[in-house]
Amino acid sequence: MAVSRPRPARLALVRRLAAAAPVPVFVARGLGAGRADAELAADRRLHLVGSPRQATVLLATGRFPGRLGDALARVHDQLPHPRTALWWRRPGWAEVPPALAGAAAVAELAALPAALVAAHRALVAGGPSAPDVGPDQPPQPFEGRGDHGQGGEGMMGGVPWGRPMAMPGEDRDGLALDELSLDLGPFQPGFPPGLVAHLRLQGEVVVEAGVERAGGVDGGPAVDPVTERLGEPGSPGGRARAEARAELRRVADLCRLGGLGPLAARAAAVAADPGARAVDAARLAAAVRRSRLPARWAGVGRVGGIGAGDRLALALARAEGALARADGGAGTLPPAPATVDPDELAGALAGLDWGDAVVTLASVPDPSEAPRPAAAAASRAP
Amino acid sequence: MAAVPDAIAPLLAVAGLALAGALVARWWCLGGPPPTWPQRAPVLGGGAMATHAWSRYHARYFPMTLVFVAFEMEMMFMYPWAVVFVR
Repeated sequence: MAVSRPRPARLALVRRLAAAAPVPVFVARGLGAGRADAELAADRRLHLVGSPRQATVLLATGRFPGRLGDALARVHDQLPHPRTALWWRRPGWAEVPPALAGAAAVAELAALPAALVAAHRALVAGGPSAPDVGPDQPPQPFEGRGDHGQGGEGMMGGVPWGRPMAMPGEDRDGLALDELSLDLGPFQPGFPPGLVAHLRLQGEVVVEAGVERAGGVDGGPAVDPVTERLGEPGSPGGRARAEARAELRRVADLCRLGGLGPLAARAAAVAADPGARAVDAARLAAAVRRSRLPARWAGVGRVGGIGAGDRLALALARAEGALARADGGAGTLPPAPATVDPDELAGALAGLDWGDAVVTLASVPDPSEAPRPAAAAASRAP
Repeated sequence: MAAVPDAIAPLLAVAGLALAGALVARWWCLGGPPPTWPQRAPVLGGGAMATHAWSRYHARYFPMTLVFVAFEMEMMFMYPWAVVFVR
C-alpha cells in the first residue's frame, strides 16, 4: 500500500487501538547477545510470545553465522503476515543473514522497545509486510507412481516430500509407538544462543537426545554490553553488577518458561535497573519462592546433581550476592554452577517429557555465559 | 424455569445458524491468505523435522469384520423376516 487513502473515522479508530496494543514479539537469539532480550519482559508495550505464529515482529539479536542464518530464515517465514523483522546488531558487521536483508537495525538495547513499537505501528498503518525469504514450495516435490500422486517404493510408502515415514519403536511400557526425529532449533524460547537439541520423540517423551551448539561456542564479538563486561577485567564493582544482571536475566527467562509472566517482568525490571540493590534481589527471591516454581522444578532435569529448581534458586542467590558486592559489600558469591558436558546433558534428557526437557535445556548454563577464568578468579576473591 | 418461550427450539436454531453464517462471513472477508509452504512446517524454533509425523497403523480388516458381524444385532431382527418362518 504505497498510496494512503483517506479512511472513514471508524476504521482509523480501530487502527489506533490496534497500534496501541502490546506488540507480539518473537525473539531469535543469535550469538553475542546472551539472554539480553529477557529484559524486554519488563516493558508493558511488548508481549514476548513463545511461537513465531503469534508474533508480528521478529527480533533478531546478535550474529547468525552459517546454520543459524538458515534457521532464522525458517522462523522468519513462519511468522504470519503482516510481519516485519528488527535486528539488534553492531553497525560494522559485514555478514548479513538473508532473513535480515531488509530488517531495520538497532544498535542499543535501550532503544529496542521504542523501535519495536514503531515497527508495529508502521505495519498497522498499512506498511509493507516482509516478504518470504525461502521459496513457497514444498521442501521436495513428491512424484508418486499412481495417477493421483500416491504410491512409493516397497511396503514402507517411500519418502514422501523428501522425508521418511516415522518407524515404530518400543515404548517405555513395552508397546510400539512411532518415533519422530526432529531438531529443536536454536531459537526455542528459553534456550541459550545457538543450542540445538536433536531429539527422538515418542509422543512427548524423549527417547534419545543429542545436544549441539550451532555456530560453536559463543566467543566472537558481542552486541550485549553485559556479555562484553563479563569477559573483560576491570572494576570489580562493574563486573559484579554485570554478573547480577546476567543472573537476573536468567531468572526472568526461567520464570517466563514456567508460565509466570508477571514475575518475569519483575525480574527483568530489577535486571535493567542500574540502581538495583541486594534487597531488591532478596525480595524477588522471596516472591519466586512463594510462587513454588523452584519446588515444582526440584526434581526436573537433574544434571550434575543439580535440578532446574536448584539452578533457579542459585541464580537468585548469586544475583543477590553480586548486587551486595556491587554496592561495596565484601561478601562472596556462591560459585557459578559448572557447565555441563553435552553428552551428560543428552543422557539426562532421555526419558523426560517435552516440558521437562525444554526446562532442562533452558536452565543448564551455556559455556558462553560462564565468566572467563580471570574474571572468575577475581570474583571469588573476598 | 421462568419465562422460557414455547418457541425456544426454533429460536435457538435460527440463532445458531446466524452465528455460523457470521463466522463464515468473517472468515471469507478477514481470513487472510492461505498458509505458504514454509508456514505449514511445524514450529521448532528454527529446527527441521527429519521424519513425518503421520502415524501408520494396521487396519486389521479380518478381526474388524468378525467384531462387526458379532455385534450386528439389527440384522438378527431382520433374519426372521427374511427367512419367513412358517408354522
